[in-house]
Amino acid sequence: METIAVYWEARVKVYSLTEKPGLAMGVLFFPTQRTGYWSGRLMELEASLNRFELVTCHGAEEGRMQLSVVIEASGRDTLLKLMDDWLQGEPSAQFMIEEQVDLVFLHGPHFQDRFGIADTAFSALAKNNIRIMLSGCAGTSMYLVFAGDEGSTAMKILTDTFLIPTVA
Amino acid sequence: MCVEGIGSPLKNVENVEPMEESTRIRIGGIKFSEELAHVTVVSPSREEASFDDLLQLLSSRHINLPFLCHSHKESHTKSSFCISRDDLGRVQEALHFASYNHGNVRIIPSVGTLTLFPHRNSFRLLGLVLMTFAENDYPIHSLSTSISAIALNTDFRHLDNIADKLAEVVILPENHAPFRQEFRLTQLF
Repeated sequence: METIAVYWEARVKVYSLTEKPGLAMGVLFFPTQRTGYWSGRLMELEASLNRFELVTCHGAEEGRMQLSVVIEASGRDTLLKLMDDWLQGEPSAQFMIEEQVDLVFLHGPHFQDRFGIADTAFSALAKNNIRIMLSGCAGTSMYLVFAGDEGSTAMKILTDTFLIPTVA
Repeated sequence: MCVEGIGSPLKNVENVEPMEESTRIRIGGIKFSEELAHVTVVSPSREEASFDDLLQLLSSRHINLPFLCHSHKESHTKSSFCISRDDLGRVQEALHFASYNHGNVRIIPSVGTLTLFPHRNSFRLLGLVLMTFAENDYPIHSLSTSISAIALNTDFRHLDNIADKLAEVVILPENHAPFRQEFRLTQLF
């Protein structure tokens, strides 16, 4: 059965647009075969870091993965120390940390079913020379990570680009 | 352009004992996407369009990306995204139009997104899910967390078996909805 609904909007509506400034981002490169090992280490982070803000993972060059984890800045030193220990036995893995990053995330109706949503955000930011360091878009969510001095500008651009309905 | 039938399996996993009921994590649910294609593009050279330009091109052709993972560091950019299988030919045309070098594009023609929710921002749950994939040699093509879910792209043909394996480490509600969505939403214009 097919049902068609007609819906039109001049600007893409979002449910909310949120900025979390001053976070830390760790980026780990590791061989795909070592996914089991690093999965175990991720589980161990629960005790010391408590929670993540964003995690993405995709293939780096052939046979390697890139795992990016955005956390509260207060967890930076703990993460660095743990990674130092874990990397001792994993010479083929590399880890780097970005000290100050800003996270902006938004959610909107049926984002996963509509074309042009990512383009709307990426184009608006590119026009203003704002570089996206990391992005994860899944379901109705779009997460964007920026260098720490660009988050508030990015937030303003996205606020002007998308429409956040308000109650009169 | 590299087109692959099956993603690289994961190997060399630490031994994991079967989980006790008390150590399994209770979640709200798991769902599968329809069959999708997975595209990864890397570091465009000067002759190639930027990823922003590629997104614009896909948008102008009404091609939806139900999943996107993008990272940029210095001059190195990598982007992975999913598209409907029906759109694969048009995406390949767009990549060609944008002068993407074949060596910088990798296409996996049959993937599915497994969405597990809620994640509760838990490293333990995330690690457990990845461990299940690694332990059973299921490929992980890409993943991203959203506000409440973990969305993970793997080979479409493995989805049912993966759900069976995940059920050994998580507890699903008794009245869980079918994993597969019974309808499809499409934006026409």
